[in-house]
Amino acid sequence: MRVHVTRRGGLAGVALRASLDTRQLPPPEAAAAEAALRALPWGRFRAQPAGADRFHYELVAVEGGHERHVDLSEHEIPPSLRPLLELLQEQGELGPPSFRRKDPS
Amino acid sequence: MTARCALHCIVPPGVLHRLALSDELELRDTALRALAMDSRFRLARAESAARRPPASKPVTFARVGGAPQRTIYDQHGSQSQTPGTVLRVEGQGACGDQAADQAYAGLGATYSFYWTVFERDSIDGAGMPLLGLVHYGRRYPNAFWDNAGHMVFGDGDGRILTQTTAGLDVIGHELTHGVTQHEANLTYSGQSGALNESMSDVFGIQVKQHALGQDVHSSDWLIGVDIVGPALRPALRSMKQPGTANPHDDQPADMDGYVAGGDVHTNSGIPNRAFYIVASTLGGYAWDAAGPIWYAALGDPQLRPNATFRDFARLTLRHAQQIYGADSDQVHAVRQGWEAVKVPI
Repeated sequence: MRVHVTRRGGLAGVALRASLDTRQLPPPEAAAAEAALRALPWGRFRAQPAGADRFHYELVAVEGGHERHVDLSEHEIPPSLRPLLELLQEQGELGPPSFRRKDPS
Repeated sequence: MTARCALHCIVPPGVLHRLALSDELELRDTALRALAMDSRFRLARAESAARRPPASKPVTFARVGGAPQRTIYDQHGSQSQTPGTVLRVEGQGACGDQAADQAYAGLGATYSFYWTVFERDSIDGAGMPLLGLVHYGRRYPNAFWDNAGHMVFGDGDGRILTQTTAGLDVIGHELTHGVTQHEANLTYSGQSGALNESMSDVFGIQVKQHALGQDVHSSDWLIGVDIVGPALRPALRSMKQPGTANPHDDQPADMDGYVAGGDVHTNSGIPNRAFYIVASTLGGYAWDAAGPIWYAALGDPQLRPNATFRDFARLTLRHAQQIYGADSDQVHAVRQGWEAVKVPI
């Protein structure tokens, strides 16, 4: 399953973005990450911040030509999604805090 | 009935104990009943106090302020916000864990700034314990205030941030989020969110300047120089020249560049620069006049959680007038600061 992930916020404010695929993970972790992704509250925008300077994540999944969005605060991230987000930390491209993604494809 | 009530409410337990030994049967029974009731009340109070988190514990009347109550916890790389194992408590010497000792010193410097300059006793103004959680997460490139009384510090990923406890301005920044929560509680989005961020930079840089003895001209007015990794060098933000701190810095320097729907760390550049202009126009130390004016505005009950830049600017002007006089240099500097960033008062 392919997702475009943007991490925002944090003390630094800087945005970090990457296009990730659960297939980049070892099979057991990939299956767990996919299950966690499917269970997310897709269609929900504006995650409620729990504190100041916390990270929040914008996820866009593209499946069968359909796009779905969800915004998550870091405390809402299920543990089985963390390996995928570690890939974001390793491979992500940095951008200015208010960077907006224009084309998700 | 009235006598029994008086015994319950007024008579101290010591006297009740003596009455319970009385030869007079009725007096002894009354005293015993009162003692039983008294101990139930004490037990109930103790139980209820124990259930409350430390952050909301009532302050004892014996506290006079002036000394922090710090505890630093090791989160061992977990992302739990429940305090982990204790590394250092108030009064103990260095524990040898660099992050813990930096957090302990930084929280002390921040407490000292707020107490010395504003006579504010900790985050809530009432002696709240300062709880620092270090080694949060794995290579976690961030530090945050969790709105539940914890200042949380990551070790950094080595790319955007390094050890986050290394910056005095950063520790002052996080503790100030707690101060803001206890004052105006500015909502963390839009202009009020950018103001919330700006408060943390404004008082965070003063914590650093105060600890290092820097006046407005010797300070670099940069946030995060001690904690940035190679990707964000030389700093996270510049209060003097917003938008120039690193290759990804998109902070506007005035309202012409305001980013609608922008991140709170983007638009905070506008009020940050207003403060820099007021402080540098007046000279001396930032906490001589500019700091107290900003502090008075932050604590003004009229500053609502959804305040705009203009709401805040007007309060700084009003407090400058009240403290220093309508035609004072301070009032002129405040007008000049907001005018430069194009926030009309």
